[in-house]
Amino acid sequence: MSAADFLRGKFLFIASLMLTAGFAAFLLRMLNEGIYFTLLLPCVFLVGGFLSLLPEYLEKRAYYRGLRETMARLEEKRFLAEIIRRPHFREGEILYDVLKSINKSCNDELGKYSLSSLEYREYIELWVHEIKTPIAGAKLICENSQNRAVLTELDRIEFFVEQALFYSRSSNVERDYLIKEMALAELVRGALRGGARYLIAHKIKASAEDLDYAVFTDGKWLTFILRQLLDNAVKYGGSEVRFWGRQNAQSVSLFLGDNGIGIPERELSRVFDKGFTGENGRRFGRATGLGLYLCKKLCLKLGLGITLSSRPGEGTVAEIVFPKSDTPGAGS
Amino acid sequence: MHRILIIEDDKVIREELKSLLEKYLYTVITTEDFSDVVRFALASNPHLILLDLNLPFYDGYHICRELRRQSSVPIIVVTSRDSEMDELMSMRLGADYFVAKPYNTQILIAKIAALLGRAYGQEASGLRHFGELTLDMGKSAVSREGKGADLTKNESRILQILMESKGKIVSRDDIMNALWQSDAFVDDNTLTVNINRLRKKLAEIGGNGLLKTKRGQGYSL
Repeated sequence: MSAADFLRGKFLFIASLMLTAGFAAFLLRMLNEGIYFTLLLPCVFLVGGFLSLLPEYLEKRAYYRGLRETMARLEEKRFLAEIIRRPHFREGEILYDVLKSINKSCNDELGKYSLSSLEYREYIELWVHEIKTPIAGAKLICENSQNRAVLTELDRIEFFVEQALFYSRSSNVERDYLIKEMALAELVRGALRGGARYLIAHKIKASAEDLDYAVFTDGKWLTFILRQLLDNAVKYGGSEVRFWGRQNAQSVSLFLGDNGIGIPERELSRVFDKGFTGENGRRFGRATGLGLYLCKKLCLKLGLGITLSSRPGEGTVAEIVFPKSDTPGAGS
Repeated sequence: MHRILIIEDDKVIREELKSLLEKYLYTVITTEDFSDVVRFALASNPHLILLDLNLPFYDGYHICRELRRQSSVPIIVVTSRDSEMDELMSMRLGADYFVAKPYNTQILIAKIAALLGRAYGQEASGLRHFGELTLDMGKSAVSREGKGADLTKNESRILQILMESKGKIVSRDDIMNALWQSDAFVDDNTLTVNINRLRKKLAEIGGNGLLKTKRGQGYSL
């Protein structure tokens, strides 16, 4: 708060002070007092009046300056009321109390929503684990009665159930993954084994080569991401999927190439956006705009890079970059 | 044959696992009373235990730990809790292997055979018989009436699947799936080549016409 701002706020007081001083001078003049006395007395008035404003000005200036600085420094602005002190002047006290109660009501609302989203997330986790038991039962029944057609469908159901689980995990703020050193080749083989029936039913030719690298990641999460990418390769017309690895200076890259219909160049930058289905999605009609969005989100949490490159008509290559360090988010 | 104890509270899974394992000639013990599983498990003295984690009374972690205190029987944890954390936890408590539900039965069967082989000696576990044929999985060789032929890994796996289905037709997709589960990601053409070579090798040892093609359905012995 600048001095000018403060004085503007005190306009009435200052105006009446001036008037009083003027009127006093006028009275003294009428009483034929000497010129010095006539001027001196109103001046004493004025000085006294302004001096009385000074402590208030200094206090308010210090308080509001502190408030602004705290606000600017604060990353989460909503915590302001919890940090500042209660001032000693009346308007400040009122402001402080109002801020405090707004803050409390915001926190209550936030608490309600985070609790309900946590409860929902816990429910999803529980539900996924519950439903896996009947799926496992159904699969065993099919295996024992040699019902292949249903088995393939059950594999699909299982995959979508996993997707729900990972979707709920992806928006969670806590980390519920475990980064370990894993053999890249084994992760790829796991994804191929898991999707075997679906890939075989679609006559997909699969290969995996040059994968003798160790990477730091959560195996379950990465397998899910690879299954999601494989699913896309099959969905968009691929008849061949190829995994290969590459050692970079500061990282290891895993590539998954297919020979499907590819993605138009102008859409490549948006394929990871939530709900984006693009031309292919409309043409094939089964896109949800979720798969790649989820892959990206999970990769971000694991500290991995993911990009797609494509030539329409020739195929798509997905690249996942594992930084060398074991701390997620560090490295390239 | 080996005795396997299934500790699983879901009736369907218990029964289906039981009939699956019985097909592979294991003796299967189950229980419906989970109040004192540890004592029951020790008393029934199985060669291997399949243990679910979500159980009434005590959870699988507790049972695993208690069993380990008194026995070194191989334990396979089968569960729908499938995070890396659960896997690590199970291993720390002494489980020998961890399979996530819904499991891949091919992998489960292979793992059971491997663990039993390791714990109680290899003899016989690598040998399979069907009709006149004997398949030695360890050596990857087939023999018939004293004559033998060496097989590649894929050929012996295909023969194993056909022998295990005991004359029933196995579809091409099923054979391919089984090969994929052992990390041989063969395609249609490769499978045809493998089958033809296997047929030739069987013919060499006098098994002409043993491997039959059922058009549009698959293969059988």
